[in-house]
Amino acid sequence: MGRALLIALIGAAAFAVLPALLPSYYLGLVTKMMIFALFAMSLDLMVGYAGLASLGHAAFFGLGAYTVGLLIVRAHVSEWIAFPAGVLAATAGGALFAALALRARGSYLLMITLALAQVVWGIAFGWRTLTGGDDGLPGIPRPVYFISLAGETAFFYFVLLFTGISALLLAAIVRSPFGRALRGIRESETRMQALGFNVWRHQFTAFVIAAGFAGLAGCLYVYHNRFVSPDFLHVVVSAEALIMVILGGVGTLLGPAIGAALIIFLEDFISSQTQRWLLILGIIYVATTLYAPRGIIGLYKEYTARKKQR
Amino acid sequence: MANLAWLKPARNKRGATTLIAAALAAPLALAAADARAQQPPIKIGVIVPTSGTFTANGEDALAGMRMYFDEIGNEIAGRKIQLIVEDDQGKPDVGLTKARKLVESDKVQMLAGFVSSAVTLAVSEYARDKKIPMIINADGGANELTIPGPLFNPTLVRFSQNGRTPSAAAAAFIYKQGWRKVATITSDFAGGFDTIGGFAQAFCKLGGTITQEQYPPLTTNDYGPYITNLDRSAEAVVTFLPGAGGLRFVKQFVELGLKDKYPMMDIFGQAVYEPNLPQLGDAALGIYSTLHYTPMIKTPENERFVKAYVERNKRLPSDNGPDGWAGAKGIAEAAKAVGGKVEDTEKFIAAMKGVKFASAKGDLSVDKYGQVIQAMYVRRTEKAGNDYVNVPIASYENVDQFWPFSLEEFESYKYRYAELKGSTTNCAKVLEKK
Repeated sequence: MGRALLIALIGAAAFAVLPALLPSYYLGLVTKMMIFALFAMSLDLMVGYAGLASLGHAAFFGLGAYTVGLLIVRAHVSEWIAFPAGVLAATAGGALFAALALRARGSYLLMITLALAQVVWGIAFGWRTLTGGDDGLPGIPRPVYFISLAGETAFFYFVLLFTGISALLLAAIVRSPFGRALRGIRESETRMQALGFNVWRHQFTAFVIAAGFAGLAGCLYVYHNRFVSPDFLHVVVSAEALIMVILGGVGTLLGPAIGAALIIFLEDFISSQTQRWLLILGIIYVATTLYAPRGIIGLYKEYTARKKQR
Repeated sequence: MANLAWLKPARNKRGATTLIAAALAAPLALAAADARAQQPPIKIGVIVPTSGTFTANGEDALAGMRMYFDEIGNEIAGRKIQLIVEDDQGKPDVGLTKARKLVESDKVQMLAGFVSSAVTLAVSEYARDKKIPMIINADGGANELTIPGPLFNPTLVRFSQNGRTPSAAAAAFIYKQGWRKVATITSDFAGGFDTIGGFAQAFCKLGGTITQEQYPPLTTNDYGPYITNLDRSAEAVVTFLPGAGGLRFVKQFVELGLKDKYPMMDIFGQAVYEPNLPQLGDAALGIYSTLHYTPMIKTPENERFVKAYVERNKRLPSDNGPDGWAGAKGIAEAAKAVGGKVEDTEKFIAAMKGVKFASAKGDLSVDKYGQVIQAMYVRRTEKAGNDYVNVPIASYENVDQFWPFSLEEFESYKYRYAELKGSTTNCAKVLEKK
């Protein structure tokens, strides 16, 4: 435990000095990485710990984002209300979706979550007068919470604060008895039921918590981009989050965060180098599935295990 | 908004050869530098989709830009021109990230390109904050960008069309033909409402009526129900069906035997988009469309442009080719006017708003809000030898962004286009004042 704390402290210190070292564009890119790291970690709670595969996680990301965007652009509400309201809306959306979707398992759950998310996407896309349709909602200013977050550095610390705290909370959740119960359910629902655990209630709670953190990531992303568009809700974003989780290592929390950072970086870097970047990204995904099915963290663990054997 | 879909494979093999060429040319360049003080290059960040739905539009605009800069030897006022191209994938958040990279990391002095209006709107906010000149010369038709209001960007100039003018031209032409009652069929998405709302406003103002409005989803496969449901009292059918929709609609319109009875006006020429024409064949004949360009325009400027374009790219240009070219020329003229000092954003943009030149699209100038004033063409699809082409049959010269209204009149209406969905048949509401 002491070692983990030390690593966390060193990590936090390393992040804290980044603004002094990086030019503004790369600082913005790291900010985006942190937001998606939070998003991927929230999905990992569902997929990796509760064993609930979802293809609709972008719905909560987008619900948070649209709530903030609509409240600020259409209702001119203070950012002190809009931001928590965004997280709340995503959490409420999570509760509703969980109530509807948790009757199914496996690929059926994938389909239901996908369908529900498409409904939300359809509303954002179709309700032109409210949501701006596929043009989205531009013109959302960066907020002022005691200090203005308009600058990249200030906003970086803002996101670092939220992502850091969320990461610690998520880590605490998966280590808690609740988190252990979730893993038990993932391995065998019937056995946990026989042991007296309320399986449905555990899964429901995990689903809602994951939705809340995804909503938080969505709220941060609105401020980062200063606009919302239906793309935030699109199934491609849900799928991308799943890839981040799988690439990093399912059920490790740290893995999905690394996976998110890596994918954001690769997309940005490779697409600037060549127009054939989609092909290269595809090859990387295929290679990961073939040679590192347990993700980057899995690869690292295998490596250390082999070293110990010697 | 014009000309959606049709994926084409991206192509760019220049990387390696440019590097080698640069390595070989470096000593020569150094020698030449003695003669004239070396000036830093003018860096232009070009944001266009080179993957995804809008690939064809992005590549055409880019080809047009490269053509113009090659014509002037890639140099303005002693400064080399350097294009840095980034793919926005048609997604606004990606476009914004790319804009940040170009401005903050590559240190470009201006941004150009832009196809999807969502990307354009997202980047405009950022460019306005950073006071980076933004030149829209690929599509990016969102009306609000050049109309005073919350989304107006004073450091933006658009050399492509805005969303509403082809609609206004369609209304004017239909009315002139003596058709007073029309039925509309529009794809159910943001661009569709803007287009048909613009049409309704201009048509009602002239005294025409829309007797029926239908909104099939973008992904409709079977237009049969919409066609059989068509109001038979209408004198013409007005459509805006981007992507594969237009193609399917026309085929079924012919199969159900209605095409000979009702003239069809295809705003933005989506169904009769040039790559569609071979597939449609005779079905496309006689369809009217409005746009700010067709490769069939009979002017020396256009004939020269089309010849050079076909030689270079082995295909006919869409409207985005001349748009790209015009934007590049606008940049060059403005840069010359300020003696190459493009870093002075205010002077540079002011100079760009004063440019005037002839292009393949016709004569161009820019209004004080940054929107190009250009001709609108009414085209009819005809057969020329074995090919099907869109021949210009009428044109409206010097169409500004509010045409046929003035800014004051345009702003006096109560409802914005999207709000008119479902009530375009009610002219009293369409023309209701604030």
